[in-house]
Order: sequence, then structure tokens, then C-alpha cells
Amino acid sequence: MLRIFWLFFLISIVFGAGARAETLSFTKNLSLGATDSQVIALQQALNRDPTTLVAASGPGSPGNETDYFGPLTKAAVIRFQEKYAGEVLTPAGLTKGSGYVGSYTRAKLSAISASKAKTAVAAPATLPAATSTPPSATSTTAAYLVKEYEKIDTHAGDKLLENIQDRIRAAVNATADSLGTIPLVLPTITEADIPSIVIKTLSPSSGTPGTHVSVAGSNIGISSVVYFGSEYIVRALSQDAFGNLSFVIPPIPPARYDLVVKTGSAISNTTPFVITTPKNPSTTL
Amino acid sequence: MKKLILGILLLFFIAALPAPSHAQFVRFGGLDVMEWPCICEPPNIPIPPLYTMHVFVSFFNNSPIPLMGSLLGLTAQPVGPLYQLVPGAWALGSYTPAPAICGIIYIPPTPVPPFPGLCIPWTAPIYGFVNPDTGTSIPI
Repeated sequence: MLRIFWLFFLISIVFGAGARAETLSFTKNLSLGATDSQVIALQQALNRDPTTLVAASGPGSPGNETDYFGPLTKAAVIRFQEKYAGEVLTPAGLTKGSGYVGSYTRAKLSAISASKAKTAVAAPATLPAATSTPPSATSTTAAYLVKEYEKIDTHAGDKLLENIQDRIRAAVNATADSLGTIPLVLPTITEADIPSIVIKTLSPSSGTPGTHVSVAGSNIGISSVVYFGSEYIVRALSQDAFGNLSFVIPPIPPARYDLVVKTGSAISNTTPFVITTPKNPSTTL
Repeated sequence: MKKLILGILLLFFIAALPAPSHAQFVRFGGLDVMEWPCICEPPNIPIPPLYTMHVFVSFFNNSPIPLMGSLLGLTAQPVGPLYQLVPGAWALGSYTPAPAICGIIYIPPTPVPPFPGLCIPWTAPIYGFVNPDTGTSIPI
């Protein structure tokens, strides 16, 4: 009997810890197209209320929150903003939700998150991101695993863009915080601020292993390599008679990957790419 | 001699062809880096965010090529149903040139001390309104 008691006691501790609600913090402005860890927190916060659910199933749904701010997230944010219009929209002089997560929306999200944490409503403690580490590689996928010497910061290109965004936001915030006494002087953007490789076209944008994908962009050539997240790499691009470049989707686990092209030492911005199985077509967030 | 006559006739024919009508749009390409809802009009009028400004770097339209350029799109549906305009992705399309402003900061009025409110517009060039056939091949 005593053993059973202790068993229940241990189970309650383990599961109780998992069921504790987190306080989510929102420190960045977020908008459609953003890829950020705070988008996971945003989707988690939205999913706590059935009226602002991001998605009922699939990516973005409770337990499947991702770091990508897509149209479903934007629609859920608009519902949230209109639900709390008095605290989010009215102070900004708005009457309808915009889907843009700015200071008023962040403040309300944080406030709700804090109150939910106090009431400790059961919620998953940690939730997988869409770009979670795939299952252990099989021998087929092993050939596409990134080797030690091939490891790169796959977000190097994104960081350049984030730097531009941060500089613009800093200028805007300085003007807003000074109540307009500091004029809005936008930063000067130079070539050095922009990734030297930009993926302009990926066609198709998702597919099953073995599918040919054409890729085009600035400074992408036959010597470029394609990364699927930081785990997998395609080392060979092929070029047809017209100069069009393409690669074949490798036999790696179906998931949503941040695709990056590297030419020499230059790294592109990340681009979402979904590897599907025939039974699991790509889902739009 | 025959060739000369034919050549002159051909030149005459080409010259007589009507000139192509002047396009009402400008083609462009650029990396969409961020969006900003237009929430007010100067000097101090708050408005619903009917339009969203899309800021592009490496904005290629006509020469000379500026490095940053902005376009306005309808917030509800900036481009056609088959197209997307996504921050972080390269977009290709066209826009209708028009003078445009986008108020991005709205400071509400206060009674004490008396302050009439203020709308601060985006200060970099806004080239016009994005056309529906603009988009990216990059998925959402």
C-alpha cells in the first residue's frame, strides 16, 4: 500500500511539473513572415484561448506551435486584438486589428500570460518548434548529414536583415519615445548591410524526397551548397543547358526546414522549405 | 535595287506602327524586410490601418537603384489571391507610381497639457501602390 502511495506521489510530482503554465514574455514586435522563437510563445499564448486559436490541427495548433508567423498566426492575432480592442487598438487609435504585434498587443499578451501562469492552467511545458531536430538519421540520410567542417551559422544572413530591422525600429522608437521632438531619421542602408546571397525563387517550394527543385537568386551558382537547417546538406547543384540551377530533395525526414544557400563563405537568408511524404502534403501556416 | 526598295518599305512600315501605350506600372524586385501598418495621417489624424507599408532593401526599379524603397499595399489583401508578399522573401512584381505617405507613429492628443496629437510619417521614399500581380515563389 505504501509503495502505491509513493508511486502516486512521484507521478504527481513529475506530471505536475509538466502541467505548470509558463509565463511567456514578449519583447519583440512581430509581424507576418517573421521567424523568431517568440512566435512560438505568441502561438502558445493565442492557443490558450479557443477564440484566438491559431489552428485546430497541424502546425500552429496546440502542442505544434512553430517559430513562423504565417497568415493563420496573423488572423489569430487580429482576433486577439479585436477581442481586447479597448486595451490594444484604442490606445493606438485603431478600430480594427492589424495582425501586427506591437507594444500594446505585447503588453496585453504578457499580462494575460502572467495571469494564466498564476492560475496554473495545464499547458504543455515545452512544445516542439516546426524546425525541431529530426529523428536519428538512417544510413540513407547519413550521406546528407552536415559534417563538422561544414557547420555554419545558418542564420547569418537573417541576422543581417534583423540588423536592418533593429536599426529602423530604433529610429522609429526614438522618435515615438520623444513624442516627436526627435525627428524620424531612418538609417542609411548600404550594400554591406544586405546578404550577398539572396534566394529569389524556389520552385516547387515543398516536395517529397527525389523531387527536383529549381533555385535562383543573386550569387547562387553551380558551386553553391544547400543547407536544410543545420543538420542536412545537399552538396551538388545541377545546371541545365539554359543555366537554370536545381537540386534534388534528399531522403531526409519530412519536416519544415530553414533552407539556406552558401556560396564560398557567403550565406543567404533562410527560406522555409517543407519536405513532405505523399500522405503528408505541405501545410500552410 | 529590289532589296533597297524592300528595305525602305520595311522601315516605313515599322515607323508607321503605333507606339506601344505607356505602361501605368513599374516593374520592380526587392527583398521585403518589414511591414508597417499606416495608422495615421499628418498632422494628427488617426486612421484605420487600411494600408500596410512594405519596406524593401535592394529595391530594383528604374535606375538609379536605391537601396531602400517602400510600397503600400492593402492590409487585408496586398496582392492577388495567387500571390504573396512576405517579409524576409524576395518579391517580384509591379507597382503603380503615386505620391503616398504612411503615418507610422501616432501620438494621441492630451488635454493637460494641451497637445493636439501628432502623426509622424515614414520619411524614406514611398514609390506607390503595389499591384496584385506581385509576389514571391517562397512559400508561406
